[in-house]
Amino acid sequence: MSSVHSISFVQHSTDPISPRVWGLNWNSSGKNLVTCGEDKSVKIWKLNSDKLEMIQKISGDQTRAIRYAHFSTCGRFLATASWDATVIIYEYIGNEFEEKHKLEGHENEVKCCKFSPSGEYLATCSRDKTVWVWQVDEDGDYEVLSILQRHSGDVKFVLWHPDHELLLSGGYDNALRMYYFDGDDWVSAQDIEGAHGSTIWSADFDSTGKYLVSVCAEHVVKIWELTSPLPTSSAKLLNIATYQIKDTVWPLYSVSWNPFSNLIAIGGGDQHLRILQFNQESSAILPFLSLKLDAEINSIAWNSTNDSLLAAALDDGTVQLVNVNI
Amino acid sequence: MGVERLDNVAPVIYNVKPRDIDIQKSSAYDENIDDPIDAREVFDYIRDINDPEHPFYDTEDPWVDVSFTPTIPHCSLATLIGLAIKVKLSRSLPPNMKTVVHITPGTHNTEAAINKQLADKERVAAAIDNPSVMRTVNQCLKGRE
Repeated sequence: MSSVHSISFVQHSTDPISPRVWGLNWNSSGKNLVTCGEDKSVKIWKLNSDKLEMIQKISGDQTRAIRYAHFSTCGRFLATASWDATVIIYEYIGNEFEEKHKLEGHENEVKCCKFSPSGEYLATCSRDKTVWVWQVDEDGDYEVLSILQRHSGDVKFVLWHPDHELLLSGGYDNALRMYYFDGDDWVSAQDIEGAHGSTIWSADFDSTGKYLVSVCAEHVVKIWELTSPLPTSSAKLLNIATYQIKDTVWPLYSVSWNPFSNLIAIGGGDQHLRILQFNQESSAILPFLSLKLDAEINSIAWNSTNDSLLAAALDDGTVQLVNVNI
Repeated sequence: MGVERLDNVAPVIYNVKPRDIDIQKSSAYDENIDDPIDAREVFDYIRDINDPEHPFYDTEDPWVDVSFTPTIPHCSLATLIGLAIKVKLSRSLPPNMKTVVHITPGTHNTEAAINKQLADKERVAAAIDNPSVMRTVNQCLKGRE
């Protein structure tokens, strides 16, 4: 009998004024989780069987809420994106993460930062409507390579393709945009205006990179197929399935595709953690399981190596670990 | 997805009539005045009654829906006023009560754009987190001396 249930939780923040946990991510080994939030702190946790234990707290480096944090594939670097318009790169030295670089340039709140799977690039995006691609050189220094100005509104997220040099962004202008590297610069591969009927908050690829799932403020979930990915200049996303979550009026804020299966986890303003199933043959999205948590869910992520474990970041300052039994 | 043979195939999921708050009433905030039974209390009594066609929808937590009418259709302060209302409600209502603040339909030329901003939780949070914006909002909320 399939089931979904909470197994444990921790407090990222106990600050009564600024409890909100905005973002979280696992590292590639699935052994560590990073969380960040309104309290302007970043916390690193170790997964100990089914509980999280805090191993490092970082605060004071950024002066406004920290919206997103991401580990590099190798796990040695951490990037944090803040509303103070900066992105900080930390390196794991000795036994902890130490600040290495402060990346400045965005005009206002940075919403997301993601290392490319190869570790060669870092993508960032902001309310200033731009997506920046930074290149990392052999000395570990960061230089702006490209500034992409195709969005007409606040860019909520950036996302790298797992295998190909393709970058995706989405946000307030209801558009999904894809970019490729032409040898000198990152340029536009595809602009999907009106990809959704409202703000696109989050998207994720499946492990093969063949499918993309996106979610929006009008509680619609869409699946896209990536066609002709090589050469990357010809890559195109094609909408193949749409699913409207009918029993909610609140936005969907975060989506995560299970690295090992066709289960898709979604969290949003109605506090429900929903698991949907994508059937490739029929291109159908089917509801599977649902669990109501105690507060709005801002970020959700499947563990990288444990296919039945999920972490969720909530408005009440907690980080919930959830187990999904098939 | 299959089409179900129901009277109401795609219901709009509102479990309670939106509650309009008359924000002019200072008695709402006066602790010396007895609090008569109100809509919220009544809602609590009837919230578990299910729609027989859709019995599995989880009871949606009630939320407060406030619509406001700017004095002129091109009022440049409409977004700020909407934000002030959101802030006031968040300070007055229980912490987990959701609020939706929007412009009365048809009363402002850019109401869709303003409503979208006010409905964006992250934009509202970032605005509230901005000291210069909050200085202005707190001015709005100061009330008459």
